Amino acid sequence: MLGNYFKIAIRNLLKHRGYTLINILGLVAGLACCILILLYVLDELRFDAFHAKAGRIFRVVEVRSTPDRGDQHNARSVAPLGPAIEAEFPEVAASVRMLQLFRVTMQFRGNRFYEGDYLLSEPSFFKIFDFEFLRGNPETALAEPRSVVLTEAAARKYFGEEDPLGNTLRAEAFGDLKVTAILKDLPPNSHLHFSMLISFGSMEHINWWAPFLNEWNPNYRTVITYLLLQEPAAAPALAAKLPAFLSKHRGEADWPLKDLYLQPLRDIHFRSGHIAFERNHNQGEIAYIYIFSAIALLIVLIAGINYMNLAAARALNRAREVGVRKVVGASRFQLAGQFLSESLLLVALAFLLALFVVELVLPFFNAFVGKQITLGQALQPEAIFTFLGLTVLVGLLSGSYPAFFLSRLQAVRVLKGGAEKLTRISNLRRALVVLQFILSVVMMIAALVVYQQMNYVRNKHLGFDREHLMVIDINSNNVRRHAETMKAEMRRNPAVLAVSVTNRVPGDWKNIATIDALPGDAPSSTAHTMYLLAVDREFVETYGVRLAAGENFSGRGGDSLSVLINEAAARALGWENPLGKEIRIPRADLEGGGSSKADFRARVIGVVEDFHFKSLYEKIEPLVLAWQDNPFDRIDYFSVKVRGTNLAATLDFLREIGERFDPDHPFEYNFLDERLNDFYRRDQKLGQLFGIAALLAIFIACMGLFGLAAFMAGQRTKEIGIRKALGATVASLIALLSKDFAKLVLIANLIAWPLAWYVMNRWLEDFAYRIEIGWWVFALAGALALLIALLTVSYQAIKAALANPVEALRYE
Amino acid sequence: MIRLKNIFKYYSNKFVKTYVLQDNSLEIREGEFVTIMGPSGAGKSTLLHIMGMLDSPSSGEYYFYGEPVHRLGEKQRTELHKRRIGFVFQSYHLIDELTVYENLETPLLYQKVKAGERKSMVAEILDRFHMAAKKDLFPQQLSGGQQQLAAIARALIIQPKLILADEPTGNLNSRQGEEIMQVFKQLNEAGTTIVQVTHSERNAAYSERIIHLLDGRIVEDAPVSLVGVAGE
Ligand SMILES: Nc1ncnc2c1ncn2[C@@H]1O[C@H](COP(=O)(O)OP(=O)(O)O)[C@@H](O)[C@H]1O
Ligand SMILES: [Mg+2]
Repeated sequence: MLGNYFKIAIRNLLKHRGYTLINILGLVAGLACCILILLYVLDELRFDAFHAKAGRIFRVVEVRSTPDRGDQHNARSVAPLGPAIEAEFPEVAASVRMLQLFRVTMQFRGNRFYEGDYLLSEPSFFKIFDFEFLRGNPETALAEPRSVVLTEAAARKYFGEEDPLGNTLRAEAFGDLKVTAILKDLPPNSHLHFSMLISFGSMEHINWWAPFLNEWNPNYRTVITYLLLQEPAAAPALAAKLPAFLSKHRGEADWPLKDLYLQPLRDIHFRSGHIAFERNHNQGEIAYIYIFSAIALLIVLIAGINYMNLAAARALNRAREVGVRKVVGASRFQLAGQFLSESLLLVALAFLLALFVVELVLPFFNAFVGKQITLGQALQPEAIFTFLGLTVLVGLLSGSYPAFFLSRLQAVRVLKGGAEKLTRISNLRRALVVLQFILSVVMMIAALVVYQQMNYVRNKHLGFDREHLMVIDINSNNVRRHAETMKAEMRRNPAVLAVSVTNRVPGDWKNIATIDALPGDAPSSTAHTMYLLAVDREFVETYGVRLAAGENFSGRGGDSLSVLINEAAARALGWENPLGKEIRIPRADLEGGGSSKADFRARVIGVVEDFHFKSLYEKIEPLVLAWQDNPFDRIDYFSVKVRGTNLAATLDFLREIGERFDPDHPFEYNFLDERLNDFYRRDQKLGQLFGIAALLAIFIACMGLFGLAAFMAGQRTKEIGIRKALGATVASLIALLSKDFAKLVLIANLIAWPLAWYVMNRWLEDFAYRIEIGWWVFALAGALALLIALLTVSYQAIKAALANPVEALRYE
Repeated sequence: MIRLKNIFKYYSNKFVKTYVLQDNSLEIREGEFVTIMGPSGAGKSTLLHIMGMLDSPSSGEYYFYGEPVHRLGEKQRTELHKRRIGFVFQSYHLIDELTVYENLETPLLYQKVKAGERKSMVAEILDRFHMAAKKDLFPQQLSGGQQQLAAIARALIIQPKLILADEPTGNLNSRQGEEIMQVFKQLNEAGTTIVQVTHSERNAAYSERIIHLLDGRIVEDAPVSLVGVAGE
């Protein structure tokens, strides 16, 4: 029976090649897109799944709450925390601490690199996490101070062909590190990423480090702590006991209120957007998984609708077959089975082709999403099941309309030729076309809006000049000490327009420090959280920041008792005229460390106009510009305003100065405008994704429209012949045939517009600074959809209109 | 075999009922060869479809071998007709995408006949209609007469008790028509009940009884000899 179904299915497919081609093309496009997205989603969902104990591993996260900024989550904890939890709670099987420090130079013979991608950790690391060993012993690899475990890639980088095991790597600050083991290169979907692990004990000889290892003072939070529980279910109960545990050890009630919770390992990749100071390689976002999945579903839906629509278009041809089969004894059930197996066959065929297409575009896709997915490795059981399920689902869905509609036909009716009624385009089919175009237009509008917002973000004046600003990292104290001398040297080159040193730069891609600040005479409880930039006299000039009132730092001494503030800070402090007022910063409480117990008091000498020192996702918040010598933070960057011409020469000039004052570190620089764009990279990708999806959706929808138009033109051959014989012009015939479809696309637009408007306004709400969606966006998307649809239909319409009327009439 | 009692059939559109069959009662015994005649639109096909359970009457009773068909659901009716009734149409109604062989095989598939048995049954009927050489051709590659022969072969393959033929020779020339009528005659002699619709007096002469239908009513029902149709 099935053989018979397939036989007739294949003959039908071959007989109506054009129809088959349209159908398969649409399905292939839809399925390929869907498979790609599924591969992506599955790959994301597999993050950190390779650890055998993944379900029992948790990361400790601290929460601090302030009235100004609400809850602030922080992945760092104090060093004694892990061992203490492990010792006091039997439900904790093991704990491990990891520490990431400043970059250091490392060297083996001539191979010297500036290494930032290392972690310090303890032997328990390998008890908790499963990273594959190529050589060495997991039990002992990190036991001794000054041991290092290298990944394959790092081993090759430093040791080349030589055997690293037992050899030593010379590291700045740590001394000679003995290589004790080699790890296989880390799997790409691991949130922990490092090129080497150095034993925790390697810190012990560094004197200033001691308090960081022993203190419960939250200013000393430096390590990331992971716990291995006896069983996952113990987590909530344990978390509930942590606040009491913490206050017992911290003792003083004086620390700002803190809470602790346990974040499951498998959540880290997706749900850490709100957590600061973490290590999270290739961090993902669960919202993107939802968006991606939704797009995949929509595209498959559109392709499935196509199938239904085309099948319905051919219902007339099939109706007679249905009648005959019923007469010779087919039951409804058997007929439905036939049409379902036909669509399953077609979808399976399309699926194989789609796999082929996926294989072809995978390299581009990988480049786009920054992954290394291969079809071979992706085809694991869950993927295969998902794909099989997808094929069957699409097959059944697409086949359902012909199956249930056609199998219900009455044999007598269709055999008598009463099938004319079927040939009219039913309302269901109209609705399906409308639905396809709604989806297409929504995606088109989404792409346009994202594009516009990204354009806005790129071109908005930020309150400072971002062009031609080179940011040079300060990597040594020698440079810090000689910063003024270096600035003078840099300025000697006429291509250098201005130079400034600061602790952070506006739009910093790292975190900008925060402080608590309040009017000098106000009670401490009224403090506001503010951002802090430590600057010099040239900052205002270099960045082109405008002074709203008062004056800049003098540069002649006494500046360390003065501050500038921005307008937002003046508002927060409630000062109409801030000039000359005293500002008090109660306690150094910088997230990054540094401590001074005395209150810091300074006089406001100037107010700068608000500028966007963070991304446009965020409102401009209060900012204090303190002198570069301050108790909170030290200078870390040169910002050099250069002429746009002959950049290479200027760069060489600056590099020479940098390397002269810091021979130990490679010269590091960035162009500020490029780094600023990094903020928006993900949304830019989202926009591109919508664009591609919209194109695909339109393409598939048009395939369906094309088939439908062909069918309709075929149905109306006789009518067209008569009209032509009566003298109708070709243009009027094309209009006649296209009108119906134009109406459908217009209706689709009317529904798509409010939908897109709503959805895209929700998206825009993420940005504190955003565009208004203009009416022309809707008009443009609508006009495009209409144009494409009409072009598609007109081919058929023109063909029909140009046909010889006698030919058409002779058929009857 | 067939007993119709007070059969009505109407189509209603926009509150107007048009009656196609009005209060017809009829009995057909096993082994009869019956012809239904009447002008176009008289309701002949409708009556035939009701007998073949492809359509159901608006009211009235229908007993097939004593079974009350009017009380059965679609599924049970399909079960009933697919084993016992073979249909032949004016326009053959073969499936274009299937070869002659596959067309003949189709009814057996729906009766879930085993593959080996199917093969021998199809081969046997092809032999009987001298069509073995044409079994791999598609319907369009056959002449009209051959197509109708294939259609009859398909109707016969299930060894039906009853054959319902709606103008089976309407699209054929007289020589081809003759051939079909011979086949019917032989079948009838072998015991198969046949009900045919035809406009041709000549074809009617092959049967034993003629029913005249006019505007949905049986106006005459008599043996051929009494109606006075001349045989060959
Ligand atoms: N589905 C239908 N809806 C309305 N009227 C119908 C339908 N099918 C048949 N008829 C009408 O029923 C009448 C009888 O049809 P039919 O039995 O085919 O006549 P015959 O076979 O005698 O020429 C005709 O007038 C025809 O128009
Ligand atoms: Mg008729």
